[in-house]
Amino acid sequence: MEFPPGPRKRALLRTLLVAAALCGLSLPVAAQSLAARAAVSAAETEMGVPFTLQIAVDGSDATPQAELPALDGVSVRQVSAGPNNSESITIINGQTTRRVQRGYLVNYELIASRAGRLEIPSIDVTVDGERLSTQPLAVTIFTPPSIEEYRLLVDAAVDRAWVGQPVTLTTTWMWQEGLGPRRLLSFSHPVMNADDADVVIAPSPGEGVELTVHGTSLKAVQRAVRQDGKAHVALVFDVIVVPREPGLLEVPAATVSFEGIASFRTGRDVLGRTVRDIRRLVISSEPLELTVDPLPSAGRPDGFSGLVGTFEISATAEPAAAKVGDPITLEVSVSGSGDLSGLAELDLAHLDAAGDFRVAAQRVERAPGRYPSRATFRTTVRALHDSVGAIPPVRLTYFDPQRGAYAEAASAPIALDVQPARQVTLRDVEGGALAEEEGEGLAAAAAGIAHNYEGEPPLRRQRFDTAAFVRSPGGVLLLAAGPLAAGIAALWMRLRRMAAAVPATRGALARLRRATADAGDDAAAVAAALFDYLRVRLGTAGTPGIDLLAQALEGRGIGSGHVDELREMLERIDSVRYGATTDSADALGSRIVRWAEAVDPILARGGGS
Amino acid sequence: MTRVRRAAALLLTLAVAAGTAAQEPAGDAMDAGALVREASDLYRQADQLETAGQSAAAAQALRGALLRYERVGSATGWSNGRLAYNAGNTHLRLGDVGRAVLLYRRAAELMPGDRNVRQGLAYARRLRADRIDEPVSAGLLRVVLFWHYLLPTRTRAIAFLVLWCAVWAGVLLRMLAPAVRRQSWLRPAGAACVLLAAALAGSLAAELIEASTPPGVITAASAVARQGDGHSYEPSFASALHGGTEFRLLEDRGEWWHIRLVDGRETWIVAGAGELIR
Repeated sequence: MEFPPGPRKRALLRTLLVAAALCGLSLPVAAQSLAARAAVSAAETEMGVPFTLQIAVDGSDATPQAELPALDGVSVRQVSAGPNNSESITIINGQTTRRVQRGYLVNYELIASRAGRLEIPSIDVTVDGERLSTQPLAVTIFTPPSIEEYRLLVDAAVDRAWVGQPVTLTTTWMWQEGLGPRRLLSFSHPVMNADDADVVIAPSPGEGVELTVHGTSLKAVQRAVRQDGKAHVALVFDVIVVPREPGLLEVPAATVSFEGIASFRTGRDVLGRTVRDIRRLVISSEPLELTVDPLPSAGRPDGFSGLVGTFEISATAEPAAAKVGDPITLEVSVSGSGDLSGLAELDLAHLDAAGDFRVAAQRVERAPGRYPSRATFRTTVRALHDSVGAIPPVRLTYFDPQRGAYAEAASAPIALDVQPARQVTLRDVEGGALAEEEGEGLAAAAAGIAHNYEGEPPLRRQRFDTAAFVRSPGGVLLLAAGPLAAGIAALWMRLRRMAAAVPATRGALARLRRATADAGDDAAAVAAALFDYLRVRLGTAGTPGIDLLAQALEGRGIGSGHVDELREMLERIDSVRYGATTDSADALGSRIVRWAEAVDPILARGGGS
Repeated sequence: MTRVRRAAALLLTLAVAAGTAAQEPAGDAMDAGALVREASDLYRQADQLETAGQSAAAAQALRGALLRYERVGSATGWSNGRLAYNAGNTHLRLGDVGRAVLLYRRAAELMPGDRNVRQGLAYARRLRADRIDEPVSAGLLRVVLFWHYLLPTRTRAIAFLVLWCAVWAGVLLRMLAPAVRRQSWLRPAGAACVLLAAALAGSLAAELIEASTPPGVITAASAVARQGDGHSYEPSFASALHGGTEFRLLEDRGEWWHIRLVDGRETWIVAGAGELIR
C-alpha cells in the first residue's frame, strides 16, 4: 500500500494513531495489580461522633466480599458502595499511553461508644475469587466533654420478653429549661442495627420535632418534664424491638452529638450584644440488656398462628340470607398488640372440612406500617346445603406474653338463613348439572369426582384434526368424489345425447331413399317416409300441417319454389292415398327423393333462424 | 345395492383413516400401556391408603400415578380423553385445581358428551378461587348449537362426510335413474341432507376459526394479571388470578400472553402461569 506524499501522509498517520489509541489497540496500557486498602476519615474522634471507614479495592470493579470483624463498642453501618473506575489517554511526544483504573469503594459509618484506642484489624476482602487483606488501622476515641444539664435516657418497657414479643424502647433526650441544642450533629442508636431483632420506629402520636436518628428520619414528641426538681424540656420517641432469637439482647448506648448552650452564663460583646456559651457536646445513654425467652413448646396448639401479643377477632357475613351456592362475603377482623404482618391468612379449613361450605381464597388488608396491629381478611363462602344454619366461629391461636401461655381468640358464630336453590339454569338445559333428586328420595351428591377409566389402556387416538384431514389425500378424495362423479355423469349424458342425435340427422336422406324404395306403390308408406325425413331434419313431431312445414322450411332458408313443390307433392300423395287420381305412388316417391336431394344440403348446414 | 353400500362404507372408513393416520404420533404402545396400568394400580393403592388413614402415603401414590399419566399423555399429545380424564381426577385429588381443570378440558375436547368428564369438570370449576361469569349470550349459544358442543369433532366430521356423500349420491341417482327422479320423498330428503351437511360444515369451520385463539387454563396457584406485557404495568384486577381460570390466548409475546377471560375482559399474564388445552 502506498501513502500519498507530503503533509497528507503525515495527517493520515496521525489519524490512524489516534484511532488506534482510542480503540486501545497495540498501545501500551498501564497494568494495575489487584490490591485492597482501608482508610478512616479521622485518626482521632470522640465517642458518639460518626466517622467513615473506607475499603478500596484496586484492579477490579467486581463487587468485593468484605468480612468486617466485630469491633467492640462500635456501631457499624454500611452507607455506600460502588465501582470506582477511571480511564485516561496521555500522548507525549507521540508516545500514547492509555491508563485504565478499575476499583471498588465500600464506605461504612462507625460510631464508637467507648473511649480509648480503637484497633481496626486487617480486613479480609475477596474479589474475583482472590483473597486480599487491608492494612490494620487505629483510631483514638476521646471521652466527650460531659455536661449534667443534658441527659439521654433509653428505657425498655420490660426487661424480659418472649421471642416475637414487641418491646417498646423509649428514648428521651432532655435538657434543663433555658438551655437547649442549637444544631444536631449526629444521633446514633445502635440497637436499630441489631442482628437478632427487628426494629421499627413507633409511629408518632401527632406533630413532633423531626430528628435524624441512625440515618432514619423520625418525629419526636416535645414534652415538659421535671427531673431532680428542675424543669426540663424533653424530646421523646419510641422504637419497637421484636426479638427474633432467644438469649440476651443487648441494647447498646445511644449517643447524641450536638452544638448547644452549655451554661446559663451570658455576657455581652464589645458591641453590647448578648453572647451565650455555645459548645459542641456529646451525651450517651446507659446500655441495656433484655432477656429473651423462647416460646414454650408445652401446650403449643397445632394450628398456632405464630403471633405473639394479645388479639381480638370478630367476623361479619353479608348477606345473612342466601340460597345454596350463593356467594356470602365473610369478613374477619383481627386486632391486638402484636405484629400481624406475618399472618398471611386465617385458618378456615374447618369450614371446608365439615362439608358445609366451600371457601374461596382470602384477601387481606392490613393497617399501614411495618408492624400492623390490625388486619381484615375477606373471603367468599358458599353454603353447600340448606341445613347450614350458621358460620361457625373463626379461631386464632396466639401466644400471650402477659400470661406466658398460648391463648385462643374466637369470633362469635354468625347465623345464616340458607334456602335450597333449585332454579333452572343454563347448565340444567345443557344437562351439565347434577341431578339433585333421583329415584325415591335418593339425593345425588353435589360434589366429588367419578371413577377413573380402567380396562384396556386408554391410548386410542381420539383427536381429529379437521384441517389435516381436509389436506390429506383421503380427505380430498372423499370431498371431491361426489362433485366429480356428478360432473362426469352429466358430461356422459350430454355426450350420449349428442351421439344419438348426430347419426339420425346424417342418415336422413339415405333412410328416405330406402323407405321410398321399400314403399313401392304404397302411398301411405311414402308419406310416412317423407314425414320421417322432415321430422329428423326440422325437429318436428308427428304429421304437422303444410303451413307449419312451409314456415319451418322457410325459416331454414329453403326457397319458396321448393316449398310450393312440397305443398303440391303432399296434395298428390293425399290424392293417391284416397283414390282421387291414378298417379303412381312409386313415381311420387322418386319425385320426393329428388326434392329432398335438392333441399338436403341446405337443411344439413343448419341454415336459417 | 348392498354391495354398493359396503363399498361406500369401506371407502369412507379408508378415507377417514388416511386422514387421521398422518397425525398419529410415533410411540411405543407397549410401554405406554404398561405405564397406564401402573398408574391405575397406584391410583387404587392411593384409595386403600387413604381409607387406612395414611394420607401422606396416599398422596405419594397419587403423585406416582400422575407421573405416569403425564408421561404417556405428553408422549401422545393428550390424544385420548380417558387418559386426560384420569390425570384430571388425580390432579384434583392432589389439590391442584388448575391442572385438574386443564386436564378435564382436554378430556372434554375429545369426549364432550362423557358424563364423568362433565361431572369432574363441573366440580373442579366449583373449587376454583376466581368466579368469572361468562355472558348469558354464550350460554344461550351453547344451548342453541348444542350439537356443536356435545359431539366430538371426529363424530361431526364423519356425519358431515356421510351426508356429503349422500347428497351427491342423490344427485347422481336423479341424473342417471329417471325412475328415482319421480320419487316424491327425494326432494325433501335431499334438502334435509344439504341443510344438515351445511350445519356440520359450519360447525367444523367455526372450530378451525376458533383455533386462532386457542383455549387455555391458569395452572399456577396464582398469577398477577397485568395491563401490559411487563411487570412494570399495573395489575388489571384487584386480586390475582388463580389456578383453574379459563381463557383464550389472543397473542403470544414469548414471556407474556395476551388473554381474554370468559367474561370478555382482556389482560396479560406471564406465559408460564398458564397452559394451552391443545
